[in-house]
Amino acid sequence: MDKNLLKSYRVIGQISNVISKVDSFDEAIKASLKIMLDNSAADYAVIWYVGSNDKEHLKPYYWISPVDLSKRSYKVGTGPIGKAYKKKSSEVILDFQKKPVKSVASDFEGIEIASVVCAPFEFGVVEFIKTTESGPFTEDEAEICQMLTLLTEISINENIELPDDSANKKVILSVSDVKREYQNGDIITKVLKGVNFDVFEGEFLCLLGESGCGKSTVLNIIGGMDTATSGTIKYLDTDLSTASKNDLTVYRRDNIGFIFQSYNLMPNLNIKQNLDLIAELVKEPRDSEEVLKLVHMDEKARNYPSELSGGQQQRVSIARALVKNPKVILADEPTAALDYATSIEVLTALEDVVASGTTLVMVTHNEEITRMANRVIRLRDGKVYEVTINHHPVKATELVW
Amino acid sequence: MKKTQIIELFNNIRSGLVSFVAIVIFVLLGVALFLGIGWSGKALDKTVDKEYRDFAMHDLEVIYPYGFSDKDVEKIAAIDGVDYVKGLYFYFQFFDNHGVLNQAKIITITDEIDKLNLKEGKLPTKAGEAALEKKYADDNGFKIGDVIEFKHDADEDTYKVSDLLEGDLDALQNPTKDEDGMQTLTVDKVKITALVESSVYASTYPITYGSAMDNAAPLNCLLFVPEETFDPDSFDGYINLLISSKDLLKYDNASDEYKDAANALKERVMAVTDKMAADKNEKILGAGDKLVDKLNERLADAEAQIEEGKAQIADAKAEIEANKNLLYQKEQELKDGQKKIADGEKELAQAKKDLKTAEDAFALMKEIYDKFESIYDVGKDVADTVYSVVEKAYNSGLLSDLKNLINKYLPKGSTVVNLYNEFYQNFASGYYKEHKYEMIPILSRLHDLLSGYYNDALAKLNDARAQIAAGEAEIAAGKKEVEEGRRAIDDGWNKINYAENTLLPQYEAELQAGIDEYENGKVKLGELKTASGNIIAYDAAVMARDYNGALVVCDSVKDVFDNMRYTMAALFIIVGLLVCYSAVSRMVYEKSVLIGTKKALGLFDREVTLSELSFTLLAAVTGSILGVLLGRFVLETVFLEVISDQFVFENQEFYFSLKDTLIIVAVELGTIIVTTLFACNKVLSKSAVKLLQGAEPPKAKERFFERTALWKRLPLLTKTIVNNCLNDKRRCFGTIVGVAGCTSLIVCSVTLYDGINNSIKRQFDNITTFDTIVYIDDSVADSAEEITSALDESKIEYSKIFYQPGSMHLPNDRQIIGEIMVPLDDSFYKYIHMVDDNGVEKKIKKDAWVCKSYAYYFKAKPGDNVEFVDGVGTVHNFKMENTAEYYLTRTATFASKEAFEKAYGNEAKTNAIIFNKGDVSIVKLTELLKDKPGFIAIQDYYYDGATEFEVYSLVTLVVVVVYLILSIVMAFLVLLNLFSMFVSEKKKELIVLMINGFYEKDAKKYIYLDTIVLTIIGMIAGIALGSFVGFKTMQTFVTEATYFILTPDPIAMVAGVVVTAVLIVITTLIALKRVSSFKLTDINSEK
Repeated sequence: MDKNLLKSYRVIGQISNVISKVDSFDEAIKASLKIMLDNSAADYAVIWYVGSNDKEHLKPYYWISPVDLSKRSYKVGTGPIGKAYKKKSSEVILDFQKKPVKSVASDFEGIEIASVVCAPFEFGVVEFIKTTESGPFTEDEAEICQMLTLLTEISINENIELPDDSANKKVILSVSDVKREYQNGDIITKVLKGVNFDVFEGEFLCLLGESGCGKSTVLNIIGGMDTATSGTIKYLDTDLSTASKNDLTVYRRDNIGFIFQSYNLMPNLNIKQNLDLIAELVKEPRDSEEVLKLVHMDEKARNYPSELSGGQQQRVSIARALVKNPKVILADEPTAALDYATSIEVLTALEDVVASGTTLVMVTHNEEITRMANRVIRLRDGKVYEVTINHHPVKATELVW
Repeated sequence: MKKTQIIELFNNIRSGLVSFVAIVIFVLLGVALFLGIGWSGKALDKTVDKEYRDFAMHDLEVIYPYGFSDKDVEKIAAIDGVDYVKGLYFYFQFFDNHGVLNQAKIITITDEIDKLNLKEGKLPTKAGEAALEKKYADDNGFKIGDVIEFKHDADEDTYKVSDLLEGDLDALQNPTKDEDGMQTLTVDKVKITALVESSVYASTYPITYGSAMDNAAPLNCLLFVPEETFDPDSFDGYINLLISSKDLLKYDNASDEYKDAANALKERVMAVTDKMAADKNEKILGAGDKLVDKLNERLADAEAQIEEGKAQIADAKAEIEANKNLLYQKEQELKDGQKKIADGEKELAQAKKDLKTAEDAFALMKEIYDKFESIYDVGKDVADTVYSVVEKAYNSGLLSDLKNLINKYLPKGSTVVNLYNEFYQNFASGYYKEHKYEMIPILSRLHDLLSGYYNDALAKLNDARAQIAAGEAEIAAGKKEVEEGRRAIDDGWNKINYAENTLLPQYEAELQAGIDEYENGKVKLGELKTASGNIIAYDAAVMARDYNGALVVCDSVKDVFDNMRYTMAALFIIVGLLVCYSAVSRMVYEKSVLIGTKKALGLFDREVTLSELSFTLLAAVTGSILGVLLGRFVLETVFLEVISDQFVFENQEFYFSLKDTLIIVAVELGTIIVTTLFACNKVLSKSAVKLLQGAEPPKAKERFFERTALWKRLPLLTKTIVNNCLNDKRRCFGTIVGVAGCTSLIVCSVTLYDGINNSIKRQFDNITTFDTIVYIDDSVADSAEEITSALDESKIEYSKIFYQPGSMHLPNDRQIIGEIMVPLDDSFYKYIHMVDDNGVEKKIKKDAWVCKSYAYYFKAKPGDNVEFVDGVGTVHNFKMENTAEYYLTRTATFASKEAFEKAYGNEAKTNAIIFNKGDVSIVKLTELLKDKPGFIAIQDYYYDGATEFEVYSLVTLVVVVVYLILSIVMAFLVLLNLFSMFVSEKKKELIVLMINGFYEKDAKKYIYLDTIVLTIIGMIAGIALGSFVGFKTMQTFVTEATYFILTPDPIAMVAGVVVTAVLIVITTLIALKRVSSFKLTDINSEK
């Protein structure tokens, strides 16, 4: 049997196997893309899809690449992606350097693309990218990409209505090629090696990754607690990368609420006082008692942190973050120190926070929690590894680990 | 310890370097102070011992004013234990020092004992040369080659009693005056050939030289002279003996063994000298009685002679009177005779005159007669012829002339006159012309009459001539007689005058001299009787070294140092202990997780503790070693440098004691071990699981006041501060204790510094408010009046007092130089304010007020007996009435006149005048007063007292200053450590605040505001502690003769607060600077 054919069957089998184990389409797609990427020569892959509300444009659904394509789109028929979808036939650019496409180049700014293969499927296009580092696709490799797409389509038989996307949402935070290095004597440690992503207003964004991948560092930088070695961070139109210490303080004071892993409440102030301490910083704070009510801690207003459980303290911590009425709440592993039940309590509270329109960026290593996020950015080795748009976020109470 | 544990130890030191260094320094300071101060005192002992050995200091000194003969000296030399005895003289003389009179103690130079330390020049070898003490020379501009000329003292008395003993009344009454005008010396000036120092007079306070035996003026310097400078005739023997014993050389001077051995020797010597003195005293007393008897006899003889003399003079006077009377009589007779002669002469003159008259009359008569005869004789019988003759006579005017003559010279109314007149008239009228015959009888009658007259006149004339001749002869004889009589009378007068004016006054003068001598003799008898009755039976005062003024000062300084080291080091050790505990507690607390891990990994508690203990012990050992070095090589050097200014020791010895070192190091190490174990135990008592959870945050809870309306109204920051203080007790306690410790160190130091400085200020502002004393000789009549008149003219107010220098004999058998002042009137209290323990100013009633140092040191109370020792070692007793505030470095006693007279047996008369000289210099005052009778010397009391105090207190002040500096260093480190710890503890909260938008400065405020509250509480506690410790430490500075203000010092409190506040601000700023270096991202690593 043809090796390639054998390989193809294997891929089908893998995809089928993965799909059989997942519960949602999203998971199926993600899993499939991973398999495709693993089995192709591509470095990066993106699934473009046409949403139910907008049939004229292809939006990124899921991608495995160091760039954030969340706000990108292609009109059907334009660019290789649009063309592939329209024509329902693949667009292959083997030598991208010779025939660059501006839109694609722009999508992958900072990356030297060697080859692009855009393979259509029923409700979108899978884009395969190969960088100059690894060299261009061969024709066979290009073909494999197309086959894999087809096989995936075969495997996934559901006809799911894809939800609306976030491409029209306002970008509240923008991280561009942010690098962070630490020098300890002669040793330079590169924690972030060029991170790019945006945060949209009102979304729940999870930063996921294993220990040491730089997710807390990213959170610290966007929170104005740390400064990048290079790159740009913008909050709305304000460039934070050149901001002074005072400017960053103002930024944090007026816009950011923090939730820490170890709560970090003031031990010598009662709950209400902990909130008031922060509320007094801003011109229009929320009423602390009201906020405590939100997190179901109003009855404990006079208690001191040492009199509360971990979960209760974390809820107070959330309330403290909220009392400032911030635009963005940054949460660094808020449930890491909590047990399951308490974690659910806390996540529920956070859920309400998001529902109220506050943007939440949470760092976690718990993948289960990402299910309730709108988007998940996975970091690996100091870079964005993949970005997942969670079209069907689940409720906190549905999470199980 | 295993290799890894050692590595861990050094890594811990590196990471906890601030805490390590803090512990090192705390220990270092405590050790250094304890050893540095204590060893300085001991080094002084060592220095004294070496000095005394090198210069063969005597072991015993004997003073006996009546002197020891060579035989006596031999007897004393034979006493068991006595190896060498040297007899010498000393006395006191005044001389001019650049316009001011100074008094020198002149002492015989000795070779084998009490050797001098020659600093410059050559020791004197003959009378007229002297060695001057170097310090005095340097301070007053004297140098080798200068001449010091003494005030002549020939009229002054010495203690010589040999005349008394020999019963030589004449010698006693007429002491020989030396030609050079000096009583005790063979020369009246000396040339300085050397500058020296003496270990006997090693203190730089002249007051330690003692006092003059015969006046109250202070001694200013020492002169060492060869023995031949003293006139042995002025002394009955050696008034001073120096004794040394080889047996005592084996002991250190300061050791109890030496004191015991010296006292034993002293007892043996006293047994001999007391007997000598008793025998001599008995002789003197006996001699005195004999002399009294002798003088009585003489006086009786004199009295008899006087009476005889008086009688003789009376007789002589009577004779003179009688002779005078006789002479007067003779005079009178002479006068009469002269008068008679005068009369006779007058008569003669008159007679001569009469004779002349008679002659004239006769001549006239003759003329008349002749004329008449001329007219009568011619033509007697012829009337015409008569008539013509008469007519011729008439016409020639002869008749007229005759008429005039007859009327003039012949008795009027006489027949001849009438007749002639008739005749003339008749003639003139021409009657006779007609009656010529009538003329003839008339003429014949006239002739008869005239012849009668003529004959009468002739007879008278002849008579008169005869009478005159007789009268002249008589007068001549009378004159001769008168002359002779005159001569006799003059002789008589001369004799009388001679007798009266020369002999009699001479006799009377001789009588008066005899009477005066008699009276003097009576006075002398009275004096002799009184003196005899009051003859001071001087004891031979035998004194061991501890009576030596310089050694007393040394002991005093050493006592102060011995006391200081405990009190001053104690506070450092306590504060260090508390801070160490805080530091170790914190270190252990911060390592809770690590300790929990170690426990979880299987280490025993003791193994965990060992790790922490190694850290603190190493710090303590390092601190101890450095402390020993600092104490020995820095502090001891500094203190000894200052101490040495008070003395003239040749070499400075240093002291090191392994025992002291081990003791203090053991204390420090013990302290550190206890604190470390205690701190570790608190943590180790928890389980590994608990520790692994990390350090527990402080447990807070709602308090009752949080429900009050007031609380609700308070700003959040205030609530935060209150809650921070109440909920974090460990931190609060640590901060309060740390601040209290620092404040107390500074308050204590400043209390000590101010207490010392304010003492001398108070002394001269409030206690003795005069600056000058004039010393006068009360035996010179009107001396006080002369001096005070001069002061009145210069408009200087004063008070006349009695002043007695000497020493106070203390209950601990030491002797401290001192003074007694006796008020003679209320003006005393204008210059000397007697302030009792309650601060009330009072007057002396009837006994004596003693100075506070004595009363305080010996806990003396009213009614107690106090002893004062004079310059010859006699003890005088006073009853204590009250204590007087007094701060000079000597003892002072203020006695009533009655109390003094009772104690001394002498009347307290004005011998000193105290006043404020203002801008007038001592030189000018000396110029004004030096020629007044009885003037002795002037002392700048303020300058001398203040200088003494300054020199003495300098040592203590230096220690206090060092203490203050170290306190500030300690305080700085304590506070820095405290606040650094606090900032570290609050790091997480600070970061959270900053993350949440607090500006850095606002976040810092959150931290230091509660520090302010705790600091204030700490400062209040520190003020109380520091004042108390300062008070207690100041008490240790009090010696028998030094006293300082012991009341709480508000300035010290303010200084403590201010300095601590400044240090807190500095250390807080330094600690808070760290906040700027906090990385907000550290929130993730902070537990």
